[in-house]
Amino acid sequence: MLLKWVVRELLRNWKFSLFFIFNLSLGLSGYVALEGFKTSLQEKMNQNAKAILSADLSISTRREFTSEEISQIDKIVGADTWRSRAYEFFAMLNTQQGSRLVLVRAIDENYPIYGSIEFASKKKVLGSDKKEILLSPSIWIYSELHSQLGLSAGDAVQLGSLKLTVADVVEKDGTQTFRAASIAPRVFINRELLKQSGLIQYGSTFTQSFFFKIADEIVVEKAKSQLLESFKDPGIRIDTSKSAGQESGRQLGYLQDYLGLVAIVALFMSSLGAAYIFRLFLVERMREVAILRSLGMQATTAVSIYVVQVVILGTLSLFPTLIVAGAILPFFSKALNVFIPFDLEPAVSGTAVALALLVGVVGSLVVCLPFLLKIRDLKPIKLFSEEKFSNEIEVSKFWPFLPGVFAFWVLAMTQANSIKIGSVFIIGFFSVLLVLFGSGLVLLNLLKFVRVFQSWVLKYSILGISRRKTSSLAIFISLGLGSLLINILPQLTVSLENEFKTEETSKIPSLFLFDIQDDQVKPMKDFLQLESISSIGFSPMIRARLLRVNGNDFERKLEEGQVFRTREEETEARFRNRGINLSYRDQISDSEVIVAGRPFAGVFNGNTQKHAELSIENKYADRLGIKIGDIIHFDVQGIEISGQVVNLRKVKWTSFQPNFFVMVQDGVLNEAPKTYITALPKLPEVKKNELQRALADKFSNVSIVDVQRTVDEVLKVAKQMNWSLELMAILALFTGYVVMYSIVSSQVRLRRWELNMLKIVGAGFGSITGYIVTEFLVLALGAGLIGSALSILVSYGISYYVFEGSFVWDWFYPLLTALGVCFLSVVVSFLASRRVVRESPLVILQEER
Amino acid sequence: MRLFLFLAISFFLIPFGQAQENRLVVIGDSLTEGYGVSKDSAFPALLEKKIQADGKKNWVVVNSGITGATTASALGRVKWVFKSKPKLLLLILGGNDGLRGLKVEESEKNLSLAIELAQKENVPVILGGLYMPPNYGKDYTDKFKKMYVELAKKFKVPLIPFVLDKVAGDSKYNLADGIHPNEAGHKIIAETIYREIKDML
Repeated sequence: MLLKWVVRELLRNWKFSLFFIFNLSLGLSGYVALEGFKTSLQEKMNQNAKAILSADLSISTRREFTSEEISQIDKIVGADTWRSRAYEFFAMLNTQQGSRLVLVRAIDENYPIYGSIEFASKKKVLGSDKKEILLSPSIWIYSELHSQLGLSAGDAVQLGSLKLTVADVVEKDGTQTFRAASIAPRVFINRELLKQSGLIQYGSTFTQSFFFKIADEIVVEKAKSQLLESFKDPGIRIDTSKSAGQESGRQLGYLQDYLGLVAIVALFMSSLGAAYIFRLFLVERMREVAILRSLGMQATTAVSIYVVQVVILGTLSLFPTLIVAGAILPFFSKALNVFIPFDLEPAVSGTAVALALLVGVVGSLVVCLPFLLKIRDLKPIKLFSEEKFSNEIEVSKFWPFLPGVFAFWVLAMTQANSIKIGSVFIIGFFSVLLVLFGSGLVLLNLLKFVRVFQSWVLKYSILGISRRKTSSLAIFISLGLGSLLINILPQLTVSLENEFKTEETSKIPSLFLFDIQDDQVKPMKDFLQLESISSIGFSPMIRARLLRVNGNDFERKLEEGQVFRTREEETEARFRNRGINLSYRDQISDSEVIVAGRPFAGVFNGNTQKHAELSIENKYADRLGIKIGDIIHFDVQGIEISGQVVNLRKVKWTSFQPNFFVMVQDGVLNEAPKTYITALPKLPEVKKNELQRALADKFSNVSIVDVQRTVDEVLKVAKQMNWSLELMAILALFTGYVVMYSIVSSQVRLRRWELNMLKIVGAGFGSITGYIVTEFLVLALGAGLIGSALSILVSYGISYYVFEGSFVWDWFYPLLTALGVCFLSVVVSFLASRRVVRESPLVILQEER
Repeated sequence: MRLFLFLAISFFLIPFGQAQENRLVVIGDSLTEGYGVSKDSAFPALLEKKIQADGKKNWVVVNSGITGATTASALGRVKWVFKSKPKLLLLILGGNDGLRGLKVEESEKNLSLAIELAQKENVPVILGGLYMPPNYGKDYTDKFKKMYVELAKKFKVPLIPFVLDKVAGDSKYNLADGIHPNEAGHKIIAETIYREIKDML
């Protein structure tokens, strides 16, 4: 009976039903598209993480695994699981040109599990391919050995007792991505030859690793926790591609958080759109409810009719959404892939569909709960009043909004995969809601006093805004929130792009030089000047032990007979006891920024200062629980130095500039025994090799680390991240405007009856248009400007709490948003007024009743 | 006045006020610094306890270990610690030279310069020998081992053949990195060194 009624109602109002479905599906399509791109980007990042680790799960140790440990691994991971076993160690490679330190990776037939190795011969080797080095006693060498020692394919080399032939030269090693650069170039040999080489025996230092391919992430995580439970020895390291990705740097973490925000913004945008459309729906049905109630229908039955209608329409809206997402998204992404440096294949995920359904139906019911309660409490007497039904909610009845707030808080946290981000966003969003409500009220009250206009249309329109307070506030808040949501992602993009921005080419290093002695600094500078190379600064490095923080022992001492109870306890103790490199410089570098506290007060003055001033890297301070004002005691070569923390610094480690966790005020450690570290900018390959040879001759103790590969990888990923941010910002703008269109259309539709009345009393097209356009323009301008300005504050808050204060002011996007919202409101209200003028007044009266 | 210089000079002047104090300075790398273990658990502190427990209360052991240090730093650091007028110098450097595959001849030259300076200043030197892990190949490890023997012979200084004797290669006595000794490892090192030097104190 109820369902029959519902269906008959929907069919009778088919025009409205279609309008409803069209607008709701527009909002949901935006959400599904953003979700699709977000998921695709995350998938891309997961692939990167797998390449970083070369596996889904890896277990490694700096010794041989015992047979019991291997049985335990087999038991947990599965003896049949696809795996590769490798050894890695330093060794001397002997060639006709002399000997050279190399990093040997001894592999088997399944290596690499993920990623590929590309060679000078243009061959490319994957895990499943046959490998030349496994078929004959041969070796793959990194290209540095070709350029520095002149080694080429076919040349003979010796490694331990092994006489090997160079099989090929590695041009690109996909298994080395992101991993720290080494002091020695890598070579690959057959693991089976290790025994024969004589290199691995008692006393040898090496890392042995098992790499596993396990498709199911849940299985990986379960295996990891079981392995951690089984192996108490902290020397056994267990990594998953997820943890390897997390270690790869703050930027990846930022991108993850940003994508989390994309999900929340998309969810809120579509919910906002859906909520306003449902509100329109319920407002339009108030009179019908009153009639049914006056005819004796129970309140619960009346509410049920509309709840079922909402559910049906919400579900139907999902079909156009899926068609849009399934058909248009692939075309869109194909077009985009021409412009972006990596392939994205956004697909409609099951989660996105489920969430769209949740937002489209359940979410909207929660949002509309206050209105549904109003239906329940509706007095049939209203039926006989002249006015249209008001959709005002009394202040005392705001409690029905609370389930909605709670539901969105939970959704925000799950969407962002972070309690912090979800909560910061929700707090920001509802604070903005309050501010918009307040500023809207102020604006409406001010408009009462605007009497400068001669034209009655303008006067009537402006005064009308303040007279219809609830309806105007609803429009104002929706446009304000829309502007806020539209603007947050582009605003954060500008800030994060600054974080991902790479240094000028002259500041990106390709070689790191360390262990430069005090008396080698000048000769080294002279040498580099002769070679016309400007180094990226010389940083002094002083070794120290951190003894006490605020008088409390910092080091973890193991008393007689005491043992570490857990691997975590031991890892923490080793971290605290391993000493630290201190440095000093007269000013902070371009790659660091003070996030709390004040800069150093010049050079140390022993007459006025009791403690030296200290600057600590913020993450390091977090880990050690160090705050501004703390007094720290160091032991520098047997001499105790005390310092007070005056600031916390954020260091952009991916700038690859020499940076330190603890910086000491200038004038304190200048006389202490120290070495220097410097970096040299990118050089042409030939020049770089010549320079390395010359440096090795002239400064034989100075170790050189070639970071070119790592830097290139990081720059490539940074570029991808920049593109991802840009893409998401543009998509957010686009989706935002689509949602705004649906909101403005629904708001304008609420005014049809009034516009029609104007037409009946003789107002012409110009007057009707002028009236409605002025109203929406005034509200859009106010809401757009305030919403956009608030979005800057919210973005600042998010930057502060989530992205560690990397905020950059930008006025372009807020202005664009404010103007965009105005333009959209004008166009939609203009089109709506034209439609009303064209339609028969009687039809509208019948429809609107 | 720079703070460190001021503190350092005050520190180095202490022996003048307490004439009976004898200083044994250990110049080394992470092994001496006690990478990963507390300052009190590193072998120089344990060595001092042993010496003093043996009744030689006037001896102090100064830990001058710097993680990552190579023999290139030896001469400069010897000059620096000599400001404190040490009675005995224990030189345990070269491990990082070997691990980085530096030329053995260069390491030998650097250590020679440091020993020459100490002998010029009439400070007895004890040389702490180190071995390279077998993965560096027989040629290199043999050459490296021989370096300490030849230096000891050339400068007629006592040599502790292998400071990490009974420690290296045994996971029971090393941290997870397989290179640096743990608390138990440092105890053995202190024993090994004390056995070799006790007659010189």
